[in-house]
Amino acid sequence: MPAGVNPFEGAADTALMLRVRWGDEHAFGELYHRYHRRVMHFFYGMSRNTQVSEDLCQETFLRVWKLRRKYAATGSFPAYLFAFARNVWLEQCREIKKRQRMGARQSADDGWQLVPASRSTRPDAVAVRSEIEERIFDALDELPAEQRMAFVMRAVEGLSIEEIASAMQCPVNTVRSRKLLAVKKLRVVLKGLLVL
Amino acid sequence: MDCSEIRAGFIGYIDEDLSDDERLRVELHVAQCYDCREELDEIGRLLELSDAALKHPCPVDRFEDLKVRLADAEPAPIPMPPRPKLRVREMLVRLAVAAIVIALIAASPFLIRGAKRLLAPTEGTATLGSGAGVDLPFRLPFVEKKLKMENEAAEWATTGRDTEEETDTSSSNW
Repeated sequence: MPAGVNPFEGAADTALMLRVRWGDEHAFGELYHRYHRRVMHFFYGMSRNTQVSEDLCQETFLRVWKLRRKYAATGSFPAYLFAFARNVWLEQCREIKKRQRMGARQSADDGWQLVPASRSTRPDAVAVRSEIEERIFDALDELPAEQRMAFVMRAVEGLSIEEIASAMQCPVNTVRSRKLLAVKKLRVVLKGLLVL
Repeated sequence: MDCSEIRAGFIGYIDEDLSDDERLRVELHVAQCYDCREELDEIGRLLELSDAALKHPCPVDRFEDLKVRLADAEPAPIPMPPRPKLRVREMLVRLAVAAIVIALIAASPFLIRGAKRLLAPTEGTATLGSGAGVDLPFRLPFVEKKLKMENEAAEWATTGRDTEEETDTSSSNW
């Protein structure tokens, strides 16, 4: 095979994941390259932290690899992948709350720390974002977790409402109503800032 | 269809989640309703801004880092399918049936012996070609019938000639 030719180009996600089930790292790499940006966008939308979103993205794919033998090829692969991403996020939130209850303090040696529902303190992040983006994130912070997740997932490229519903394990109409409520909230918060 | 129903479908319209009919309804309404058209534009701009804001500014490909960790990640074992839970009632029925079967098997020698006694002849009763009879306080119906037939036969054997002689005598009188 000529160098530079991707043998998996054009292969369906399901076919690749079936190869991954048998331990094919090359097929797994192809899936990673196809979806890692979208997974990072999801975690960035939820965490507002670039480093955290990268780490959680790695964790998500690692779990897909670890549990590859359970893959049953039912439904779409994006729904399957984002169900893992959702679980990773929910576990991180529980971990953060647990640490907060125990009074743990953040330190540089604790590895990465999630910055939940609050403004990022990284000066470079603050400098880069515009005021509208900050207000968008502030408005999202006020949403219930499931509404926020539905809104963030809809922003992920190529994720249909059926796939979002599958990943969030709820009916399609529930996703529609959560998105609608999220948008209503955003409109109220951004009413004065949007140039109409 | 009123404006509130149409506006409820704006996000689906922008995200292309609507059916063809629903999409057409929205487009036809928006073409005629200025307020709804303005709202659709506003929501569209809002979603465009938020979609841009929610994107990771510089997503990095870290597959090489991930590959190192793949070797250490042992695959999880394939879970066994869960055993179906039997209802309590079904379990009790099964236990009862099993108990009855076991009782029948345990009692079968006694049952067979009792059946043989019932079928064996008693002393003074009609023999059915089997061994010595056993006195019983009752007689079975077919045994009764057999005895009756035998008694009638014996009676005929002893009284039948006398009856014939009387008959012949009576016939000679003719």
